[in-house]
Order: sequence, then C-alpha cells, then structure tokens
Amino acid sequence: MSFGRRTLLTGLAVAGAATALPAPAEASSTRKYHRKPDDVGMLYDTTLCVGCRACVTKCKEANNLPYDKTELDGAVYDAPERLSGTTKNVIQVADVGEGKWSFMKAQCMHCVDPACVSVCMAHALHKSAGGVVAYKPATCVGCRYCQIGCPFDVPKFEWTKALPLIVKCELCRQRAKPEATGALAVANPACCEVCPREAVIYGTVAELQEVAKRRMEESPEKYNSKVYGLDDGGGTQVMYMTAKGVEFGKLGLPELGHESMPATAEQVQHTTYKWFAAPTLLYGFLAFTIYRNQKKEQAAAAHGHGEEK
Amino acid sequence: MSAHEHVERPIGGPILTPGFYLLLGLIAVALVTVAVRLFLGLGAVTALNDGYPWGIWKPLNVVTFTGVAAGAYAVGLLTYVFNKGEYHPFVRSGVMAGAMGYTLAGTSVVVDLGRWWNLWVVMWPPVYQINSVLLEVAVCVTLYMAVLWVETVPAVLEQFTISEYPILRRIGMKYLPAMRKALPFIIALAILLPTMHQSSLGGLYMITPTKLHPFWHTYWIPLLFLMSCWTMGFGSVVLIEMITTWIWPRRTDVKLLSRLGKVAMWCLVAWTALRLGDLVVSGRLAKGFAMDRAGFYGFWFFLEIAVTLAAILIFSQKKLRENQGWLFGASCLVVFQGALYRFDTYLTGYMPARPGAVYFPSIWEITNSIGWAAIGIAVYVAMVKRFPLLSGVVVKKQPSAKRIAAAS
Amino acid sequence: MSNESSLSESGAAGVSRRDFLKVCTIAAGAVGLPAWAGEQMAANAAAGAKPSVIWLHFQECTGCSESLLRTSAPDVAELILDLISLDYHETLMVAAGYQAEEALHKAMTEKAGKYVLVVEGAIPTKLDGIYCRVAGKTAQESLAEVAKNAAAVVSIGSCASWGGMPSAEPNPTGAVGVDKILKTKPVVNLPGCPANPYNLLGTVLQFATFGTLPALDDLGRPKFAYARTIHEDCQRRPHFDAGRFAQKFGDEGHRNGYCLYKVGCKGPATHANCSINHFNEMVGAWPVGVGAPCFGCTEQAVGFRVPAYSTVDVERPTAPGTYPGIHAAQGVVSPLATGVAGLVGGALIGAGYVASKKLASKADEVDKSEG
Repeated sequence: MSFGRRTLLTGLAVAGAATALPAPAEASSTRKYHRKPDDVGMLYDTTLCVGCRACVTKCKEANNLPYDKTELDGAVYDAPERLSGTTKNVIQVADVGEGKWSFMKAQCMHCVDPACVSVCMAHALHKSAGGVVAYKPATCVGCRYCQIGCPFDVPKFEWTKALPLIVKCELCRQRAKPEATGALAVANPACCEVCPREAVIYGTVAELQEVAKRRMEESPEKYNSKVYGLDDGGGTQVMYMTAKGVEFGKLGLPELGHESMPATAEQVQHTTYKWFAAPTLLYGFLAFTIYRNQKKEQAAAAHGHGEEK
Repeated sequence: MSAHEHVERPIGGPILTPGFYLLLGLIAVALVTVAVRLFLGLGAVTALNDGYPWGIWKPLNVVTFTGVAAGAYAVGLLTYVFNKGEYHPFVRSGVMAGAMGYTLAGTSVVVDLGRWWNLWVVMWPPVYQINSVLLEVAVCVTLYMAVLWVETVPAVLEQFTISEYPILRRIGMKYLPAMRKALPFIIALAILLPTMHQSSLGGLYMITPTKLHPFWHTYWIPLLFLMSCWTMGFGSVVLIEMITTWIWPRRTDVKLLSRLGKVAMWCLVAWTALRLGDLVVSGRLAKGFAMDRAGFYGFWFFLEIAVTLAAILIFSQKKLRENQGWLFGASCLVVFQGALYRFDTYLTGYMPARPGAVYFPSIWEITNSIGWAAIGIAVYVAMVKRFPLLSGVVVKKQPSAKRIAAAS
Repeated sequence: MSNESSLSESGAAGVSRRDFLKVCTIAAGAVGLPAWAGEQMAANAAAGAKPSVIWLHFQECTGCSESLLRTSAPDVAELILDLISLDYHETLMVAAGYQAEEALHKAMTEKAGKYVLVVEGAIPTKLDGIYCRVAGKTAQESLAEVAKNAAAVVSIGSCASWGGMPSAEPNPTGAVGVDKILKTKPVVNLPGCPANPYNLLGTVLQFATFGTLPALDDLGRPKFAYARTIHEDCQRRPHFDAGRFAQKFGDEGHRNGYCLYKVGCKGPATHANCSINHFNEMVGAWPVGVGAPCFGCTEQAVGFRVPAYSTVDVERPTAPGTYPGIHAAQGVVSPLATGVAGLVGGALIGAGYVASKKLASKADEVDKSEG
C-alpha cells in the first residue's frame, strides 16, 4: 500500500508540475500581440454623444443587418436593446446617479490581445490588418467559446438560424478605402462617418490617443481623467472617454486590470504543453510502466496457472 | 483478498426488454429535438442566449458524462500504472462505460455546435490555433473516443473466437494476439489523453477571471478538474458495479469496491485541500463574499463542500464503506459532487459580463440530455449482454430468459 | 388719426360686424386663444376698448416690424385698424418730426396706465447710451419715459429681449435688453430674429381681451410659445431619430430634407415655436423648413454666441427616443422546464437514497445470516 500511495503522490506531482503557475509579472512580456501606433480603433466620448443613434442605423445599413424588432407598448420599433445576432452596435443609456444619465455606445472593443482570438480553435476570430479583430466563418464551428471568453460579452450568435454565424463589429473593414492613406485604408466604420458630433471618431490608435489627450487638456474639469482602454484588459483599440464623476463600470465596462485576459491563461497552457514535452514524457513513462507491469504479471501467471488462454 | 476471477462473460438474455423500450422512447424524443435544432437553429429548442452561450449540454452532456466515463481512466490508472491487478475485474466494464460516455459527449457537442459541418477543422492541423484550450479538448476527446473503442475490441474479438460463424471465429483468432500485444501502448495513450483533456475541461475557464465567480475561478482549475475526474471515475465504477450486480445475475467483490471508495476518498481529500487552500491563500474566498449575491454563490459553494465532506466522512469509516448501502450512497455523493463542481464552474458560478441575462434549461434541453443518457445506457446494456465485458457473471445451466428479462 | 389714413390706402377700411367677428376668431385661433376669445375681442373692440400700443425702435433692423407686416390672418391692417390702436410706430406712421412726437405724447397722456409699450431693439448703455438717440433723447431716456405709465411692456425680438445681434461680442455699444434696464415692471420677452409675429399678437390680444399677460418662463418668455424646443416639434425630427443627417450643404441628404443637426442646427437647444407656427401662414416658411439650420436666435446663450456650424447638446431627448439600459434583460426561465428539472433531480436523489437504503438493509441481512 505504501508503494501505491507514493506512486500516486508522484503522479500528482507530475500533474502539478505540468500545470505550474507562472509568476504574473513575467506573463505579459511573452505576448504575441502588442499595441502598435498605426493600429486602428475608435474613440467614443460620452460627453459628446447626443443619443441620436445615427451610428446604430448606419451600422445596420453598412453591415446588411436586419431590423431588431422590439415591442414597446404594443407598437413595434426597430429598437435594438443590446448587441445581438442582428446588432453590432447599439446606443444605450446609463443612470450615472444624481439624476444624471450618460449615453454609451457598445460594440466590439477590438482588444490588443483579445480573449476571443486566444480561445478560437481555428482562427475564425483573428487579428487582421490594423489590429482589427476579424471573423472568418470558413473555419468557425459555432462552439461559442468566444462568447464565454470575451470579458465584454461582445461576440453574438445567430440563435434562430440553421446555418448560424458569430456576429460582431469588425470596424467595417469591408468599407475600407484601399486608395486612401492612413487608417481609412484599413477600415472605415460607418458609425464614425455619420456621427454628427464626432462623439465617436475613427483613426489610428496614436491619433486617437492624441485627440483624447488634447480634449483632456482643453477641459480637464469636464472629463473623467481615465481613458478606458489605454491598458484595460491589456489595452483595447476602441477607447472611451466619459464625464467627470462617471464610473466606467456604470457604462458596462468591467474592471479588467492591466494584463490581457489570455496572458496568464495561455502562460499556464504554454508551460504545460511547451514543445509537447510534458505529454511526451508522460506517455513514455506510462507506456514503459504498463508494459513492465504486464510483463511481470504474465510471468507470475505463467508460474501460477500456466499460460492464460 | 478474494481470488479474483479475470474472466469476463456476456450476461446473455434478450436485449429488447420493457425497460429497453422505455430507453428507446427517451432516445426518440431526444432525436426529435436534434432534428428541430438542425432545421430551426439552437434557439428553437434551447433556452440559450447571448448571456449564457453554454447551457446544460456542456456541463452535463459533455463534462459530467465524461466525468462518469472517467471510470475507465481512473481504474486503468490504478490497475495498469500503479499495478493494482486486483482491480482488473472493473476494467472492461469501465472501458465500455467510458467509450459510451465519451461517444455521448462527442455527439452531444456536435448537436451543440452551431456550425457543426465545420468540425473538420479539428482533424486538420494546418488550421489549428494552438492557444485554444478548446481545441486541445476537441482533438484529445476525439482521439480518446477512438482509443476507448479500440480498447473494447479485445472483448469483441474474444466473443468472435467462440462464435458459431466460422468467419468471425477466424477474425477473432487472427487479430486477438496482435491486439493483446499492442494493448500496453494503447492503454498508455488511454491514460495520457484524459489526463490532458480532463484538466483542459477546467482550463477552459482560466481565461474568464472576471466572468467566473472567485469561488471557482483559479489558475489551478486544470488540476482541480483532473483530480475531480478521478473521484468521479472511481465513484461511477462503484455505482456501475453495484447496479449491474443488483439487476443482473453476477457477483462483485464489495470489499474490493470499498477499497476503491477509499482511493476515491484520498483523491477527494487532496482535491478539497487544494480547492480550499487555494481559495484562502489567494484571498478569493473573502473576495467572493464581498461581491454581490454572495448568498447565492455561497450556497452553491457550501453545498459543494458539504457534499465533499460528507463523502469523505463516509468513506473514511471502515464499517460504513464496507456496508453496501453506505458505499452506494457515498458513491452517489461522489458522482454528484463532481457533477456539482462542474455545473458550478460552467453555469452557476458563471457571471455574464452584462448582467440581465438569465438561463434555465428548456424542457427540450432536459429531455435531450435524458435521451442522450438513455442512449448510453441502452448501448451499454446491449453490449454487456452480448460481449464479455462484465466479470463474475453467474453462469446458470440454462438461464431462463424470462427471469433475466424481469431482472433487467 | 394719421395712421388711419395710411391704412385706408391699403384698402382694408370698412368691414361688416360679421367679417369683424370672423377676423377676431381667426386672430384668436392663430395665436392659440380659444374661439370664444374672438367673440370677447369683438365685443371689446365694439365697445371702443381697443388697446393702445406704443412701439419704440432702438438698436435694431426693423425686421420684427417687417415680419409683423407680413402676417395675413389677421393682416396687419385689420390688426391695427380693428383690434388695436397703434398710436405710435416710427416706421409705420406717416407722421414725422414734431407731429410724430405729438402723437406719442398724446397717447402717453391720454391713455396713461392703459397703453401697451412694445420695444423693438437693444438699448446701448456705454457712454450713457449715446449710440442711439431719437428726438434728442437716448434710448434709455425714451424707454424710461414711455414705460413709466405703460400698462404692459413687451420686448419684441432678440435685441429687445436680451441684446440680440448688437450685443454680440465684443458688444461695442454695451447693448442690453429691456428687462436689464426696466426693473420696476414685468417685461414680456418675445425673442426671435425676427420674433414670430403671432407671439406678439397672442400676447397683445390676450392683454386686450382679458387684461392679463401670458404665463412666463424664468427668462420672461411666454410659455405658450417658448416652453418647448424647436427640436421637439421639428418637421425633420424623424430624420434625427433615424440618424439621417445632411452631412454638408447641398449634399444628397440636404436635398432630401434630412436633419440639419450635423450642419449646425441649434434646434435641440432653442426654445421657440417656429417649428409649429411657421411665419406668415406659409407652410414651411421658417429656417429649418427652407433648409437652413436653426440659428438659436431666441436663446441668449446660443444665437450670436455659438458658432453657426457647430453642434449643441440635445437638451431633453424625448420620445420616441427610448434607450435600452446598459444591462438589457435576456433569456427566459420556463416554469415547465423548471418543474421537469426538479422532478428529474428529485427522482435521481430519491432513487439513490432508496437504493442505498435497500442495499444497506440487504447487507445487514447478509451480515446476520453470515453471523
């Protein structure tokens, strides 16, 4: 029995070593995706948004999305309530306390190091030109792990279709203007094009950060001094500014810390499966042990009862 | 220690008993839901929504079924790696249950996949995205499913060697020796693969630190799931052994089973130590109670711990674990504990980033899960009646078909 | 009277009682008074109780008078001849010089405490107001003199209401509105550039008929006209709600009549009834109606202050603008499924318990038989 328990403990130790935890600090340095200044993104400013929903309407038009029928007091409106299989962009309103409210634009955040890309089995969701998180249905199996993984609950699924797709904002990369220079050559979000107040603007991350900085400097009394997305969840290419006294949490943006979602998770996974060494070693050990044990048993059986039939 | 009979025999008797018809009925209902889902989409039969994209088909059909099916893995580990030959009688039955469990899990995933026709990506390495934990699970489970069925082949071939058909006899004679020779290497694979994917089934939730309640989210989750599948495996082997002994004319060594229970207990102790130790050391226990709806999450957490401790307590008492009733009850608790831990991780402790979403399985999801379980039971029953999978079968001179039918 | 002769030239003299009643009713309707108010007006007018109006011009362009002249229901002739007695109006009266001054003084003394003073134009205050003199008196002096015995004071147009265009930065003449100077009397402000004539008609006719002034907001504007923003009743509002905007002047959206918000419309921040009461009974005769973004002329904080082509905050987003919350509800819990799940779970637990119980008793029997 004592031998058995010791071996069991050895087994535990092997498994434990295989899943050994990395120190969190070293995790981010090994990341594949980093913020590049010419990556493209958007900057949304809740203090400028007037809730006209031009972006919602235009997004539907630009992406060929059907109406989102919502029943309100018996009448039917095209009024999407949330991101869904038919809505890639929506304006919502948040009660931010003291009788005040704030508009909020929800769409894909285009993370620098996205969880959805990290979890996708076959690059259906992937980082494309300009850091856009793009979708390629050809290799999507519809497992919806991206929906589980996304810390913002952005990817949506077409629940009522026999041949469904994952639906999410791809920054209107299909509307890109190849002849243009700069950000427009990569993508051309319809929402930014129609916004009457530049509440949401499109550009390279460097440009957007510059705008955010300028706005903040011009009227520091007006803004929450934090720009969401600079490094939240490892950084997002869609960034948010809001009014002073408004918490981003109230706008539905979670507190994620500075490290990307996949950083630690992948580190654990990578340590375990580095060069596939641990599984290979384990297999060798298992095969050898089993083979030896069986040989022993056969020898014992030969001595005892004669050849097993 | 009793001398254990290494010989497995078919149970025999008619397959189509009234109970079997009931199983077929349940299966038919499940197949109808599959058909509806195929043409009208997942939303037509499930209560899934964008807030809860994974419903009970994942934690029940996939993760719990494979947990139950881990009997093959757990007993195999004990028998072959730790060389506890005395557990050999449980291996074949366990492998059969495992093969079924994994097949059910695999097929259930296909039903749950939105774009199932793209499943070829799992078998096409050039498109692999190797950071995906789910890919590891998918590839591993697919391979393991195949391995488990290969492991059942010797039983089939053995039966062939004594078949009345010459052609089957020839096949049996020809391939059985080769099969036996290759078995150690197949078994090694059959132990490696579940080690990998059972841990990964928990590893799936490493990436959601903000969406899985602190009571459950940890980067130790792969190890916790791995250990939990051992206990579930031991528990399920005990249950299957006892149930088959109860309803069919066969004997099993209760003392041996109770020792299996003791192994399960030590696994549970280790699991509990890691689970609670990690929670306390990392401070997530306190964090969890400081969060909203602490009562709800606390209830499920304490239920999990209470069931675990109850099972440990029963198994630790020699008198109790050697009593068939207590052993059976404790094994039920162990399987329930594993299922609960899996459900808590996948559903109860899951917090969509946007509150406002609710999920409770639709009646079709429930009937589908029941139907899927029925498939497993039906195939298992049919297989053990026709092929030598169970040990200790009492051979009657002329077994009365009627009596067996009534018993099953 | 001198102004009667000027009016007889317009050919509107001599109406029947029946026609007069009709005019009164139309006038009442046009300014939002009830129909019976028209009869009351007619009765008052027949009894010779026509309100006397003295109209002073200061720093302004006479646009407000011009727009008043172009009303047609009632047209200004009917208004002056039949409904009010316009005793002094520098640009409408035929008289000039001493004759005009005499008319003013006559009205002021004869109808002291009864006349309505309408002021058009801002009052310069810098250098003792030397920038505007009529008959040797500065605007401040004239205003003080005429207002002293006025029954009511009405500021017509943005200039008189809060300074208007003359007060735009850097405001070289120190132009201010009437209510900045006149602290002793309530002043009805009818801002607008020009003010919508109906708002004047409504105010004056209400005073003439009932002797009361309309309810005012905190900027002294009648609530019947200035309680809501242009945006709330704008004919282009559906385009705003649907997110269809003219991107620049002359583009396709502009030609299609899309919302002008993006090209600088101040409608969402501007309180006025232009979008309901168009000018001069011409449908669509108001800025937004002809494709020009609202300038915000009725708002001291907007008109001549905020750059013409920049956008403003929407003061009150209103229906049908219903917005979903940040966390919209989704998903259903079917009671049937809950019941079934409960049954299945219960059955499993029950089966496990019963089986354990049975096996335990069986084991006891075995123990006994063995023992």
